[in-house]
Amino acid sequence: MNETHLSLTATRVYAGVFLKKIFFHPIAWLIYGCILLPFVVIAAETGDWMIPVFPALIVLFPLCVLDTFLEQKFEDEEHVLDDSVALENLLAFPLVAAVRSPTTANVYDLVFAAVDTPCGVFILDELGMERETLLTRVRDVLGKNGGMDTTAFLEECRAAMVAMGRTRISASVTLSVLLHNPTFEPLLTECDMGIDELSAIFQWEWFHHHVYGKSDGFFSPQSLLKQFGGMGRSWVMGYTNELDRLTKDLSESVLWRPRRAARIHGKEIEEVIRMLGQSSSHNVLLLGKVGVGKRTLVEHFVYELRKHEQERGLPYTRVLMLRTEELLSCQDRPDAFLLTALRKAEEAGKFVLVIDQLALVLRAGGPHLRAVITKFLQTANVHVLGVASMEDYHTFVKTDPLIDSLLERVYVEDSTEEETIGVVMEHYFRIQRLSWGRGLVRSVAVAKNFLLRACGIPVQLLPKERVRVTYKAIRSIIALAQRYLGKGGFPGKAVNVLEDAIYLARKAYDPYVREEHIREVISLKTHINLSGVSQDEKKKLLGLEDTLKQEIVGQEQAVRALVSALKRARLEVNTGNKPFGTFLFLGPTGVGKTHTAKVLAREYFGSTDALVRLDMNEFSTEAGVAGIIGTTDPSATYHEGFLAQKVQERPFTLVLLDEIEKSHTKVLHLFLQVLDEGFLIDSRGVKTDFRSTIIIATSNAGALFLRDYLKNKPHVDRLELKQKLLDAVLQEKIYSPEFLNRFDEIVMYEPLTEPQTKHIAEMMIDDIIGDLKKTRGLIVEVEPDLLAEIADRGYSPEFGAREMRRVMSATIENYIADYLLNHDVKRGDKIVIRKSDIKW
Amino acid sequence: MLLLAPIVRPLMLPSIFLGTFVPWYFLEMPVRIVTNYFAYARAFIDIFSFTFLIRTLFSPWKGITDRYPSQMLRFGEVAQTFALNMVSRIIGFLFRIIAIAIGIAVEICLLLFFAAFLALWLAFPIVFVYGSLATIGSLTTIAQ
Repeated sequence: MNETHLSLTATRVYAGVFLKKIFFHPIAWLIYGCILLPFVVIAAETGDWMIPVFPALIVLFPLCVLDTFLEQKFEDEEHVLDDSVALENLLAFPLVAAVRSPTTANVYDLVFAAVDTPCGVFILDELGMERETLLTRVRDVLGKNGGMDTTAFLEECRAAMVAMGRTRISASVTLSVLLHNPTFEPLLTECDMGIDELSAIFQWEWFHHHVYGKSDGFFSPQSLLKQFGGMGRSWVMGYTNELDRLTKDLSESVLWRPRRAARIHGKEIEEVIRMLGQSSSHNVLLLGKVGVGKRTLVEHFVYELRKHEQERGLPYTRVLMLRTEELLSCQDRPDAFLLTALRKAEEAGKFVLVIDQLALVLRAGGPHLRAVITKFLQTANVHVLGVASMEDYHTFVKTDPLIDSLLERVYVEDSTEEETIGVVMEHYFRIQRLSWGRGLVRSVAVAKNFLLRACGIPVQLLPKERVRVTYKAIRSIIALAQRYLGKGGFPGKAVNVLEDAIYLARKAYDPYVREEHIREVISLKTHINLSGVSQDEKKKLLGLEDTLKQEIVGQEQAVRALVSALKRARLEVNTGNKPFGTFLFLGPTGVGKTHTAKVLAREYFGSTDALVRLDMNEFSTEAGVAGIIGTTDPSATYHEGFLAQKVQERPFTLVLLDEIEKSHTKVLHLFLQVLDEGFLIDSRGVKTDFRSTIIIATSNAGALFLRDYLKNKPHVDRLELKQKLLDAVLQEKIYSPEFLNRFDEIVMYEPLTEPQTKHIAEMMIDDIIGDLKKTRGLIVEVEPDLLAEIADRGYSPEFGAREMRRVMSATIENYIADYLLNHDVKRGDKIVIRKSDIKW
Repeated sequence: MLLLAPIVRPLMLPSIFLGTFVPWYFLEMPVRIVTNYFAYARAFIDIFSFTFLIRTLFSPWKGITDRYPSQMLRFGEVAQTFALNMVSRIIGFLFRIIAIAIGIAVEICLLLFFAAFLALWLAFPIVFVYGSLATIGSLTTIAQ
């Protein structure tokens, strides 16, 4: 048996725990109350309430002294101890206080104590592991291995403590050593967690402890300074009554409000401060996608500015945010009102005007308001900080060269993955703290649930009970948002997904936010089915190839390639930063290239409406570029590109570029980026995400070559034929090699054979027969000779099977129409159509 | 409570008392009290912005001033402007001097408070012994 025990009673830390338990136990408070009670009684009898004051001071003051002593000398983990200190003395105060049997503590007791500390609870929450589960598994594993040497375990803990930069063996160090031990690896596997992710959780625990565990007391010097600010700094600034009606003062109480712990865009904030401090060009325009944190950047800028002025004893600069909607809707002459307000404010002193919706002001305010804004952009005492998205900048700001030249642009990019994790975590901590709620009602409800659970009665979560979000879930949010949410920037879109996922988890009474909640949220936002593959869907995918082959005659390679792309997409196998699948169908006209795309849209996407079809004939001139990426002429009214608009509305879509060889070269070049990187940047700089699309381009290029090559050649090698076809296409310079190279697969559509043509004719006739049976209950039979004649007439080497529909209408459908007119036909009647019945 | 917790080693508590508590009480904490005093004093200096108020002691109140007429020969208007500006400065001066006075008063109160607290801290062991004996005496008297 490996197990050894440790006595903690000989440690200094335990002495502190002992003192705390003795002097601050509820029974001790009872004794203090008993000591003071007689004095209170006498005071009540005599009316002299000064009587109990001195005894209370004698009793309570030493307790405060003892509490302070214990806090500073025993509980403070920042206090660095001597290297020669014994292992047991390195244990942290909360851990020792939670140990059940300090005289004979073993590894299990240390783990048991660790999971009872707030730090341990946090770590288990992030792992997504229940306390009882962990303790049971630890007990089982230790039991199987005959226990663990406690001293050796503590030695490992000491090494981990040093490696993690801590000064005590705390609950997090203990759990870190336990979970890193290979014996407990199955625990990590159950949580679907890797070692790196585990290390990240312990770092986050440290972050959480430092940000939320310690805060300045209400009467600390820092808090007092925050609350009272600097007196008199604003007494040198004049009154700005008109401007105050239109604005919100962001700087007024910025130092009092709690700051965000996760800070991003530090460089951009410094750049804004530097630019606004310049004598020339002292106006800034923040540009970036929705959700990148432009408004948060403004808040941080205001904080840094106020702190800078406070530290250097400078007069305060007021930072005022313009209430654009009120200005435009509540004023008859917004330009005149703003002009008066800004003139008076300019005389009053230096201030920064934040225009949060600069595009709205420029678009809806008219030329007069534009002129007022332009005037004050050139005024020395007024600094303007504008906020706009990229598309609004290109549409409304860039079109005015004067305003554009007066604004220095600062581009705010998406936050990095680590920064996004920090922001999302902080947002989650804030939601947790708010969701606990306050008040007696909540406490009663929680107590009731606790009792019911203790009695083994299952309970549902309270509507606002805490839902936990594990570290893994946060990483999953970021990964899935990165992959599938093309619109919007980080960290905003990750925070939105987090909030929606917490809502779904609460609705489902699930204590944890799981991957399925996150996938459901993203599926709703993108109309892409990201949930787990159900049995029905598995069957559908496995049988999809056969289903398509029934409708698409003779083009098996194309069907196989398309279905493989769909399977990879649905199961998220190797879905990198490109569209799910890109295909070029090469072949003569009328052999089923466009029909393939339509059938796929109907069978897999549910409807041909899911197909975005572009007839590339319409993009045969340079002007066609505007149809793809929107108006490029800055002087013209902007119209969004058709393709970009459709894909933004519905990211998971099938894009059909019909007869792509007819498009202009510049239009083809646009697709180079789409095929390679899965993005298209339009004329306003907006990125459209094509990574969730399947792109099919059809082309008749090389049709003549195919016709001539296959003449009198009954058997050809497909691969050789394909290579020759591509060589011919490249030789004719219809496409460049780099364009062809970007497709995942180039599928050659061969001319149809006679049996295939007949099969197509049969399918069309079956459709007509089936439709008549369904709608009118008629049984229609077609003679085989007639079928063969229709197949022969419906196909030609030049037009393929394109004529089949026309021939079918001219023969079968016309005959049936005449028959119905000339005969009294009832349900159940049979119509036989012979070759001799048709007038050719 | 003693039964609820295993007892520490006999010599541990006296060693903690003499080796840690006494130096902490008589050396470390007084230094901390003085350091805290200086931290609060600095904070209140910043809150009352003494240097800024003194620098702008005679600045016009809320920047309310009037511009002198371009033609200085219009004595009436010049006098009017001078009077307004002077009043604005006097008001500004009054507000600022009152703020400075309040700030000084707060700093003095702070000093007195911390001095009293430090004295009580250092004298408390004697007060505690005397007070404990007095309290026990009172309780005995009450019990009788």
